Amino acid sequence: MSLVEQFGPHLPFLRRYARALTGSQESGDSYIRASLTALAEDPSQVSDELPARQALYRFFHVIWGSTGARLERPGGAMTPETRLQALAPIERQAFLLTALEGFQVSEAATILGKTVQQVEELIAKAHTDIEDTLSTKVLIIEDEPVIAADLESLVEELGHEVTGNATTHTEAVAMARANPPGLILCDIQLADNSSGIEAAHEILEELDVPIIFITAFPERLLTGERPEPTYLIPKPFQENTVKAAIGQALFFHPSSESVAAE
Amino acid sequence: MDQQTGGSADDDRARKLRQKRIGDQLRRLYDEVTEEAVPEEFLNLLEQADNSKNKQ
Repeated sequence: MSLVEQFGPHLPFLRRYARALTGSQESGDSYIRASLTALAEDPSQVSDELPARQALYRFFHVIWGSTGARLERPGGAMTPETRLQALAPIERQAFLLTALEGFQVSEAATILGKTVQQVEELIAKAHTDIEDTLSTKVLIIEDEPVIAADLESLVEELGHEVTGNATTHTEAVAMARANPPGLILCDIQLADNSSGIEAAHEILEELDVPIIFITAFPERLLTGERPEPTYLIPKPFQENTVKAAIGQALFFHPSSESVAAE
Repeated sequence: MDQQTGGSADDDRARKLRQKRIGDQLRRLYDEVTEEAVPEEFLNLLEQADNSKNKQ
């Protein structure tokens, strides 16, 4: 089987990986070009014992690892792209090969020339680093004390700081103004019959902040005018679902700190 | 079966779920790349590699 037939079908995915890894398509493509040029000069360098996709990624890894792997300290707004670039290169690779490219840990280990245990540690480290960069201040808008306490403890478990627990629209707006949060967890029906959605709208007029609605009445959010950016979690909630939504909301939202610095 | 304490097994599961959610989002962010045509140049380089392989 020719190399065109073996590797050609995997190139679109290698381009996706290279883009995420290097932070831009242009840069990603230039490393693929360098890899393929090296391959054209000496095709015996590539393993013919591995499945084609792994062999291709492994070859790319060797070229990128020796020339391109850098620890970036990006300035400006933190986007998902810049957050990835802030990871140590080998962690970034282990994380992207498994999370983005869907390789098994054992396959990622082969590609990176590491043991399974090393790759597992790298993935865990990447994840801790991502969560560290996402550490932020959280405002909880919730009028039921037990639920507010649950949310508070899970937010703190993730390493975030809770700035306060508002129980009404007015209180929520005042607290957000006094100590601007990087994330808001918001109930929809509040203590004095005021609306969490309206509170959220008012806060969003002044602050670019991701909001996660946690509600027993998700249909109210779906039918009404829905503030962006929002995430929606139905009550009763699973702790893990809330934790995952928090990670997601922060990873994909430009950090308010850098936005303010611009 | 590995005997793990409930806490760390739960933590592990929670961590995996958070990773999976971020992975899903990443794929949404980058997937458009896989829809694009691969640059002709890359396929030419693979053909060159095939040619040099056949000469070896």
